[in-house]
Amino acid sequence: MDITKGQGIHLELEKMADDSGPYTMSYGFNLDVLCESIRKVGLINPPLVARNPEGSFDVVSGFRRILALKALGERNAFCHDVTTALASPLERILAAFYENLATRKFNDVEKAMLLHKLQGHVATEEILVSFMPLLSLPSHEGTLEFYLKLLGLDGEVQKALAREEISIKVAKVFVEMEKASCQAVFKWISTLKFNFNQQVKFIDYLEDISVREDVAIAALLYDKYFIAILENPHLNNPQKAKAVLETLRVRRFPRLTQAQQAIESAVSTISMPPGASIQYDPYLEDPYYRLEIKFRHGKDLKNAIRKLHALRELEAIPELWEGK
Amino acid sequence: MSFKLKTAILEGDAEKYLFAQKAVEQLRNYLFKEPAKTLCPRKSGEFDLEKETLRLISFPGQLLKPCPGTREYLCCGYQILNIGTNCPLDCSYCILQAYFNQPSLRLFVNVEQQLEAIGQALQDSGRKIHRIGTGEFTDSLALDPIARWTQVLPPFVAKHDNVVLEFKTKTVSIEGLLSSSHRDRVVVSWSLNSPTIAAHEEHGAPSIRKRLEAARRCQREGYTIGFHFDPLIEHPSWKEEYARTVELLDRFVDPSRVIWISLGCLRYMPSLKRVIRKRFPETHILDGEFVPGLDGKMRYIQSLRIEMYRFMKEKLAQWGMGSGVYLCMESSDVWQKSLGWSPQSSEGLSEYLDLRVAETFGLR
Repeated sequence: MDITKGQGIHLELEKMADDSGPYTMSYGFNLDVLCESIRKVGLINPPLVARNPEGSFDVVSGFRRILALKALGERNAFCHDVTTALASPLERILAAFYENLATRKFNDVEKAMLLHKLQGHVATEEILVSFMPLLSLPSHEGTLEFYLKLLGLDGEVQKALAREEISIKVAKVFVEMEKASCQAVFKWISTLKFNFNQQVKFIDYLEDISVREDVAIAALLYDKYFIAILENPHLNNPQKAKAVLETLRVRRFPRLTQAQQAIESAVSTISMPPGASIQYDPYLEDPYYRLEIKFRHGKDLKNAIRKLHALRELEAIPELWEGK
Repeated sequence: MSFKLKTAILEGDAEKYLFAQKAVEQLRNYLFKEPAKTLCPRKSGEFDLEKETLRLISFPGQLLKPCPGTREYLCCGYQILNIGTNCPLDCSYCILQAYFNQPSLRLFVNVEQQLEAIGQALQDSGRKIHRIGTGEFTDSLALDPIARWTQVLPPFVAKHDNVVLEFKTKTVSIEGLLSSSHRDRVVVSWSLNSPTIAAHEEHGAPSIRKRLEAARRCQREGYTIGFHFDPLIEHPSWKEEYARTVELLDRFVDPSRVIWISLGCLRYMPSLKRVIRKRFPETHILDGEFVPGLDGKMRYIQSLRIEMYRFMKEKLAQWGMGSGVYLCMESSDVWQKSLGWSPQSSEGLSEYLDLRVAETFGLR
């Protein structure tokens, strides 16, 4: 393939489709910077286009440039017609791929788009061996299957993934999750803006409770406790997120929570000297407590130890899991 | 045998080994088609374990290794003879689902060639007792009708008087054992569970009753037998359920000739959870309260583990198993609180089980 054999052509932008078409793989982008660049110095690299069977043109490379020009109110764009130079669809996909690969990173949805497009033209083995490493993906059939499933997710979920608002771990769960549950979970994640760790915990708790109590995830989230948290005007979003997770944790781990609360109430009532605290494994698996003392010099330390020595309440600290 | 293979593959130079040639003869009874000599290895999907394909392979690494215990919990000092990987049974809780990154059942064809070197190393260790098992990365007997490990390994054990070999299984494939004349220092042990867990979670495995019938036959034929209640799983009426299994034990097995019974609650690497959810969406084995253990694996909260072990200890003691019950990968604290004593360390546990071996087989 030789792109330089393409011919210059002026195209009317309103005749160009607004979707990415059969060759390009841009998704979830922000046009502001590109618009600013074109406004300041004009279009430096003309987009590549190819004539389709209907007689109009598909974008081969430069989809974002076309959209930016449209956003700027331009009527025409100078493009490179590569209909002959890049005769086959695969050549066009590869031209778009390699042009982008050299200049930027692909987000996960874009990777999925490329793999999907390649699938129609390239053997699976070649995709695994030649293309997935270029996308920083392992050459594993399971990974390929997962990326192809990403394109079946709702548009909003895809956008959130492309913008890194949800983690790839969460996307892995979503592709296997029943649709109503996926929509409900995503709504909560996007409303409360859970961070990545919270997202994973949120879904993990929900899945476990759903199986154990035989209740659909979507139904669980309509529980009055969750709605009350969501509608509580005295809590900001991070507080709501924490409250939701805590409510789920208590429901998921009733016996552990009860044991933790017993330990916490025994420890928290002790009047520890300033800078001293008692720590323990939150899962109560390590049988040992840990005493921490912060001090600036030896006298401080001696003082703290003297006060601790005089503290009778220390003897009342129970062994973890005592009497259980 | 309750499974049917679709494909067998001789990989690499496997064909040159006598073991492989014999296995191919046996395979004709179990295959839908003739074994392929070469085949481009197919990469499996994420959750496809390809259990209908058997690969005969020459394993390039060391075959005898210490059990991968962790220092945070007491480990029994077991050694694993790696005869193959993966298993035709399909237990929902099986850790192997997340342990191996390669699909298919695999049998190692070069075990016999390595036995001499292994034997020399064991001999050089002096009087130390070696408890060796083949049932960690596969079921010891499930593929025995093809592999004939029961013909190969007991004669090896007979030549090394500081070695005890344990065949650990859920199957009733005992014909090979019954036709073997080498029975000294060979332990045949069955993995047991509650009847409900066996029926719903141990896919492809015989019922508890059938396993115990097989145990009875082996015991009557002079074999020393053992049992492993691992994993114990919390499920509705678990006490009645596990008591039922002990009742069945009482009906079929003489406890005075059982060398050991291990107990271990369900635990899993965090990555296994998603595999189980995907492969067995209906299962309830993940319902319990699991927390990260000190070794990074998920395990039941300590109070539940102690309750389950304590219950099992009492039931087994009532049956007649007052000693020889031990915990797999637990802390000294949990030992003390559930069994009423603790070997204190992995070395202590190892010595305790070595003593059981010495008493059972008359070793000095």
